[in-house]
Amino acid sequence: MLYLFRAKFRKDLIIHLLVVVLVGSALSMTAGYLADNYFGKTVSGLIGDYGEFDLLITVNREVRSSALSQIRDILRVKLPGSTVEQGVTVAGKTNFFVQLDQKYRTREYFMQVDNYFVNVTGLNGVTMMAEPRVTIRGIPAGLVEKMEQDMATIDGVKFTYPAGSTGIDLMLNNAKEFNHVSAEVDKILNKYRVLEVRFPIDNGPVDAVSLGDTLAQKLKKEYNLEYAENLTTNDMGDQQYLINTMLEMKKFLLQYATVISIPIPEDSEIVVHRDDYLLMPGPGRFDLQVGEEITPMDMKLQVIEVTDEEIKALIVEGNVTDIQSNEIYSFDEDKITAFLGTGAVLSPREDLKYAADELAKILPDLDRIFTNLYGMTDEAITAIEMYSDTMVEVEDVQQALQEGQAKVEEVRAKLTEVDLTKIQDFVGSLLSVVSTAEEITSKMDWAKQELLQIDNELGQFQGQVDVVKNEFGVSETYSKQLDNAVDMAKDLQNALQNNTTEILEKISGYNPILKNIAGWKQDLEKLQQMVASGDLLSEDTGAVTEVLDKLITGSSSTMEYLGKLDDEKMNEQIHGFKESLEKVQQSDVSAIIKELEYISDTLPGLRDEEVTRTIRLIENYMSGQIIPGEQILIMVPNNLNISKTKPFVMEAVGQSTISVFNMDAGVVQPNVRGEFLRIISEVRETITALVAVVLVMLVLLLDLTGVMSVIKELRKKKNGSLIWNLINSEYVVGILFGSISLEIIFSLTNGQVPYLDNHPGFWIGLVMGLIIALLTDRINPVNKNEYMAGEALGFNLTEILREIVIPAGKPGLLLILNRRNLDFK
Amino acid sequence: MLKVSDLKKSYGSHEVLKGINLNVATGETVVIMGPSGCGKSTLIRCINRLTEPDSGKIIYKGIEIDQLKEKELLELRKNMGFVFQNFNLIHRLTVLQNVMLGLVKWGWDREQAETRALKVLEQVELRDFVHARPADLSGGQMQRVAIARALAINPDLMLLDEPTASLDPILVGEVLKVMEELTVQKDKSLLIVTHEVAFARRVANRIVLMDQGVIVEEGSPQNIFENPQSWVGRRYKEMIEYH
Ligand SMILES: Nc1ncnc2c1ncn2[C@@H]1O[C@H](COP(=O)(O)OP(=O)(O)OP(=O)(O)O)[C@@H](O)[C@H]1O
Ligand SMILES: [Mg+2]
Repeated sequence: MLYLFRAKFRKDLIIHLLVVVLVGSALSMTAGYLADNYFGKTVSGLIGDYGEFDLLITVNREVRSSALSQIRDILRVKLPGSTVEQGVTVAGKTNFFVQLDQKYRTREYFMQVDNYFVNVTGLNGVTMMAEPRVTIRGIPAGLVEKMEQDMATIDGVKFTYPAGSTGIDLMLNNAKEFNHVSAEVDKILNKYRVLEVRFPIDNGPVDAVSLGDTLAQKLKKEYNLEYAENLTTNDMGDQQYLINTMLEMKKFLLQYATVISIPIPEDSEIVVHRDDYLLMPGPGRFDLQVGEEITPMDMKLQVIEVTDEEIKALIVEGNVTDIQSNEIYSFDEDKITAFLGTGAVLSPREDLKYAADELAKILPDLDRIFTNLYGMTDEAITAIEMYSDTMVEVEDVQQALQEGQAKVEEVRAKLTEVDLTKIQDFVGSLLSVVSTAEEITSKMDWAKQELLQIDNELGQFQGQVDVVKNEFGVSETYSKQLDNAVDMAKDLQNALQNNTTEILEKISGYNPILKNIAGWKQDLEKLQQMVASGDLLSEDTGAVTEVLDKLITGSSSTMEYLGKLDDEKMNEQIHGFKESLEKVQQSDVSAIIKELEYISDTLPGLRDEEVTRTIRLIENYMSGQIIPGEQILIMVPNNLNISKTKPFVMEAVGQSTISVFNMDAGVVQPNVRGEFLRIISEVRETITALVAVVLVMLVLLLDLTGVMSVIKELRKKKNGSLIWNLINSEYVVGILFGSISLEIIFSLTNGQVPYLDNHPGFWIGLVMGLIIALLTDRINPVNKNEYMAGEALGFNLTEILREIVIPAGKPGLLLILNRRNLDFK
Repeated sequence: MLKVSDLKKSYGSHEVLKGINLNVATGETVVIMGPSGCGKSTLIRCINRLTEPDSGKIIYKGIEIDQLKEKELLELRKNMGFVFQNFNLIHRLTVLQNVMLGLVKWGWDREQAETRALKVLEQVELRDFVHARPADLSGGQMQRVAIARALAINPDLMLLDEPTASLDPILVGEVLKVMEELTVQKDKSLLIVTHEVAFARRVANRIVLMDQGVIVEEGSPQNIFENPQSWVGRRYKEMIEYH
């Protein structure tokens, strides 16, 4: 090596190195530029140039043109000076890039600018894409404000704005500040730790906020902390809110869904698992046979539960109303494989609909029934009045009859004297009372049946509504409507029950009297006949006596009963009934009917297959979701060893079933777009570096192997010490050239190699130089004869290299550069 | 004009030259002979220090060659023609350029150099081949180019290391003829290593016999070949008689 530096040839080498570096840098840079250009174009087509746009508005492709004109209008009216550009359409979504006018790049606008676009047709989302920006997420809600204040003062931060409830974005003056600002943000975040106490779902504190206050104070005292700030808030996190909603939704839908349960016979050999599909005959299908092909009309069920006794399944294709018969089959691909049994269909919403429909059918009759009842009460009152009037006469008759009993003969004679017309009148009026009572009784009996049915329907309806309400978790308005209907139904039922029961009892109480009266009536009719026909005066006294006997015993027992009747009280009661009927009639039956119709109409809004699908969707979403319980958050200095505080915290909150976590006060999120652009610049740098490496490799191979081979020869000839040999070795040439040239090219072109941070050019060049030097003899052996001829002619090293070795060597840059030194070209 | 005394050279533990003493007078032709591996090439190369000797003196025209600095040595080599067994021509250059190269490097102007080159090429009877490339020549022709190249600067001492050893026997003659012509020149000293016994007998003023790194016998061709003292000498005598 030293030879080279002593020889004039060093000039050649230096020129060569310079040319290699310049040409190498130029080529590497060109390659890098081409790569950059190619990737950069692709990327800016997708996401715009770095920092060029502020907002990304994504809309459904179908409506992109109307969305674009709406965005333009919004910009013109609300953000004049801002522009929008249409980007690419990916997966059915079209991107629009909005560049805000400089004056809108402020905290105030950035906080709310996405709201401007909420009404754009087909909007999928508005994304902030302003750069350069540092994004911080996962900050406890109670800390966001304070953090934002702290971060706004970082050097290089233009302004900050809160992003959602747990994030802060920092807009920077310059992209170069990114690392510095990120580091500062990290510093601020690292100052704090957040101690999180999590409670089990079913066993949380009543008031987490005040418990948090207490815990913070205790912690501060116990661990002598600079501060301990309670960050606990009452607001449920978005996530948790969503999860709770989903859970409710699932519960509702599960109740709403039609469940088909199939009993498993004890000796059954058919194995059914959860999630298996089963089949039921659909519309137009009956008498299904094993082995028969299934059709699209058949209903598909999916098993949700299998116990020893039964299988429960939901309808995944079809609806409860499609069910023709309840046979359940298993099937594979396209054929029915087995008959499983007959299922019981439990469809709460169908049951309710049925109840509502039935009630709605019967309620219009209520009016008619009431009118009838009302009329009857009048009749009953008239009858009772009539009865009071005739009561006196009845007594007269009875007396006469009693008297006549004693002396039948006499009576027989006397009978002719008795004023038969009077008796006839009396019996006639009595008969009309009796027949009215009969009529009332039968009418009452009918009303009784009707009312009993209405009462039953009302009760059933209320029961179904209860099922729907308690287990479905229906919407608030719908629930109110149901409540209204139930209230009215209840009132109605009460009114009917309170008043009719008693009346009906009384009416029933008439029955033996009525029987008596009916019997008495028959006897009287007979007597009247006898009187009329004159039989009474005939010889046949036996028959007359019989009739008279009967009349007398009958009348006495009738009297007995009639005596017992408290007609006044009855009168009162009937009046009371009449009044309550009036009241009942005031309740708005038609309103109830309307409610019922509404319920009936809205209930089967969803088909079973839709219900099941939704349940499945929710289940999929829920699986993998942790359902968090209540939590307490406390900000503490970072020197507190949070994991060791657990026993203390358990005691402080008075609960041992808690978990204590150590949380960051927030994290700087990788800026995805920035990352992407950074990767692209890394790709450019890597491509640049690769080209440079290849070039230097080629130069080492083609140009320097000849030189190195000569050095090797010289060294071997000199037979010097080890150190001398090392210094003067071809390895030094290779190492120096490789490392220096590649390092300079890398630093000129900004070439970078992944995973090698510290002077990659130097190290890679060094290794390449060393390897080539080791192989130099094999790659480019110097022609010793020619070399020796040069020596014998008295040529110095430079002359030998220039005139003999290099021209005979591999065609490279050195060969070209050497041409000017040749005496014989 | 050349005086070598107590010249020693070892390769590692192998002592190739074990103290050589040799004189060459001006105009003298000295032929070195000896069995293969006895150190002839090493000796002749040590003289212009193509091989570095370990010790001993080499005095040429009063200059202590063994003491010379690199630059002076290169200067000195310009005054010594060296012919290799394998011709050692520069393959990319033409015959003429091969001969001119040294001259041009030594600062001759091109025309002069060319004139001179053509002259020596004529001398070796290669006038017609001046623009040929070495690869197109026969071995004898190549060796004559090499001799012309050595001759071009008109050296006072020519060192020839087995110039015919690599040649087809039928080509040996033409080279020997050229060499013989050189020996006639009275201003030139020639130190020739060869196995050509007949040639040696005819042209040598003195023959030096070597064996295992030492000179075993030295003297006129008649003395050596008719009355050899050494084992080597006797072998050469046997060879002549055999012919
Ligand atoms: N560069 C070298 N390294 C090690 N040993 C060498 C080297 N050159 C020559 N030798 C050894 O020195 C001895 C003398 O070699 P040299 O070439 O001088 O013999 P020579 O008499 O010229 O033989 P020949 O007639 O075959 O040319 C030999 O044994 C040879 O192996
Ligand atoms: Mg030899």
